[in-house]
Amino acid sequence: MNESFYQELRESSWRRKLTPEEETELQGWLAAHPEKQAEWELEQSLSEQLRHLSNAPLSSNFTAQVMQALDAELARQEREGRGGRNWLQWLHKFAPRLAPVSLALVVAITFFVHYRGEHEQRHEQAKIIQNISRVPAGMPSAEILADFEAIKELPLGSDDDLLAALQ
Amino acid sequence: MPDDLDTDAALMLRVKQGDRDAFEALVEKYKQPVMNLVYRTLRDATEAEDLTQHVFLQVYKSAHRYEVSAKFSTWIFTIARNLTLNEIRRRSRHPADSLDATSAEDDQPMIQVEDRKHFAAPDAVLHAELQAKIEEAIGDLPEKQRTALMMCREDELSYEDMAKVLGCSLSATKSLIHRGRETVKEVLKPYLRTGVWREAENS
Repeated sequence: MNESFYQELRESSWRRKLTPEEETELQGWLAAHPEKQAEWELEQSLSEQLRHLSNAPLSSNFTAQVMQALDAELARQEREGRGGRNWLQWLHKFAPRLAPVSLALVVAITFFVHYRGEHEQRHEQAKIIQNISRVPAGMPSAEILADFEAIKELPLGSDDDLLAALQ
Repeated sequence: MPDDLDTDAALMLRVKQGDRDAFEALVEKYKQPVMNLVYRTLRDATEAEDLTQHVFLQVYKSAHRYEVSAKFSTWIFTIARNLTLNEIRRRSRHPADSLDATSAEDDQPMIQVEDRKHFAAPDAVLHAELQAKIEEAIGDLPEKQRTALMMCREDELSYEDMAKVLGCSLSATKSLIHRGRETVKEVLKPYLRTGVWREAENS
């Protein structure tokens, strides 16, 4: 038996009592390694204490309480499920009656949206025309523009050339 | 335990189909191990019992997700640990209900060192005192070490199962147990020296 086997036995002893064979082997090893004796005894005592640690206090009717809580939970789920089912049943019942009304509503909404779209389009066009009609008011008179074509043909030069050309 | 695994899995299959008796059987079997685990973390019997109840309700609600290939004990201990950690997180967000406040109250009646000095204490008192010391030492351990140490007591769980519950490797799990035990041993050493341990052990 070597150190690693001792460690294995130690880990086993954390969970269970060692078998008589394991115990014999261990005692042999401890006789050869007396410095480990105290450590082993401490390990064993702790394992024993942990094994016999008292159970946490638990109500005697704990199981009944859990079952009661489960019933309450299932009842709550049933109520919620029934609520959902009721709504679906209502929909299923009234859907045929609601169909013509829904269709009329859809047609009305479509008509309204279409009418409103056209109205807005006409309004936009009117605004554009109004803006165009304002432009001539800001333009110079026809006399001033009489030589417009001749001036346009002139090469780009100084203002003196332009004045001479106009005279 | 293959037989237990089969029994638990069979019961869970019945629970999946809404069998209340099967669920009741599982509650009866696991209520104490789950309560032990939760109680040693929360250190408040009433809250631990409430949480244990939640663990079982969660088992019922999640039954449809249970895979027969999974070991039931590993599954329920994972649920118990997760809900307990949630509760600790909730408490840390609400310091008024903190774990420290509760443990301080709990400690007062448990430690009776003075009594031992004045009276020739019967074995039962010594044993109770030692138990209280162990409980205190376990309660002071970091959560993972404590959970590992507590699961070590459960025959249902192998080291591999414990590793799954803790979400760490096998070697890390053994290391957690080792460190936890070393800490508890350190705390209990004075009792060993005075011989209280042995007296209590033999009582």
